Amino acid sequence: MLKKPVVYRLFFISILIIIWELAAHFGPYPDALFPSLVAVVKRLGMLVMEEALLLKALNSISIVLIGMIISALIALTLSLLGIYLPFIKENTKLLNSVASPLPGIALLPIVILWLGLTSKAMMLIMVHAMLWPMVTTLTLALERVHFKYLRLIKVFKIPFWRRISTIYLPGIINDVFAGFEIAWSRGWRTLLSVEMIFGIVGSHSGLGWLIYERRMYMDTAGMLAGLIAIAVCGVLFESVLFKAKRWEVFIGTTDLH
Amino acid sequence: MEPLISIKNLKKRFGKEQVFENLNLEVFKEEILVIMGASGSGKSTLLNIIAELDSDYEGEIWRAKELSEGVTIPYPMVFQESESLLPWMNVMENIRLVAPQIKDDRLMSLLKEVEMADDHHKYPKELSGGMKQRVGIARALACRSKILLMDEPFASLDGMLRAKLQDLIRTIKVRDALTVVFVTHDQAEAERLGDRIIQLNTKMK
Repeated sequence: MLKKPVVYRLFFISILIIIWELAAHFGPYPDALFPSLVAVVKRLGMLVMEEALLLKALNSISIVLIGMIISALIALTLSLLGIYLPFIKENTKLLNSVASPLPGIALLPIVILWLGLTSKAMMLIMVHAMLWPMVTTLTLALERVHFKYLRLIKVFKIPFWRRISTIYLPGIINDVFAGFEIAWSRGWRTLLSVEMIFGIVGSHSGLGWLIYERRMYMDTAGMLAGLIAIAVCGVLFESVLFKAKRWEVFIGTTDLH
Repeated sequence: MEPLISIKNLKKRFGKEQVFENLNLEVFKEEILVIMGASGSGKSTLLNIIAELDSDYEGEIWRAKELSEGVTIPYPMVFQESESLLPWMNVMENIRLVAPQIKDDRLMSLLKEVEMADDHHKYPKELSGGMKQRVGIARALACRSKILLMDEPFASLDGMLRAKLQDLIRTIKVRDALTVVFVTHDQAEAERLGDRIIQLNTKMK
């Protein structure tokens, strides 16, 4: 039996589809500007078959994932060092408060001047977009775990590396996934904006470039198909991969907090 | 009686607040010393100072050499339930965390002592409060120290369970010739368990 929220959503989507189709068929707009959904779906199929849409999506996703891993490693190192070194803790806080409000796209002009339209420049923007939310999440999580088990660590003289592998990392694993989720949504948005400006870096191009490129051909159905692909990737990652509860069950740390 | 620890003229303050002023105390060999007091009277602070976790004080503390001879963790502690076990480790792993070299048979005999041998593969979420504290006691005993520090370990347990664990502490103390310093705010617990009781007043001057 279908749950009510699913029914509500399907109902709402059906209404949207009907309104769209009515506007496309009977509205004042030409097909080139306002294509029907059938045309959009056909175009999506063609993009998948002929323009390697899946490859472009994979390319975009891989850039976000690489940026995310780099950001997580830097964030973890800064947060861990911050527990023991006040100098690192204070300056990470300072950098975070200064850099966090800066959208990645705002850094683009200066980064392009310094590094050109290269994959390094793109990765720098991506890391900037994802690093700071991860620093905030991991710093808070590590401080919580550290202070909760501080006496245990001190009384039983647990050595530094064992502390990391047996207390800190398992203690913050759920927060790491929560940090990934935030980083993903920031990184994904940033990447698409950056791709529109960078176009093709090396031999690869992503979804952002695809919709930008479609505009040049006045291919509205293609642009809409690209937006659908972007939304699908976003939903898949946010609702499937980064749902921390699924990982909690897997890792067995459900009663941590 | 021979003292294991002797504290003379201990002064401790947190900011402007004086916690102890000229506190004198001796912990004797193979006794259960209960430190009693209301919240904020400095019970846990005193335990932390004894355990060498806090060195920010004035006064003298003498510790018998035998406390640190041949052991890497001279002052093992049993904590309150909330800070006791790591939830992502099972019973055996929680003990191995503090005693990585411990042999399986020694570990199992420790768990038998605290009646937890049958639950050695269980995770803390599968254990009751009393069981968790039994594991906490086994973990402290795994350090083979001559002294056991206990910071309100049974505070969250009900009366029956508390009495059982108090009996367990008494049995272990006699069998292993242990010295126990036990912190509580419960008068009945102090009277039932302690060979000697000291009361800390909120403003000790």
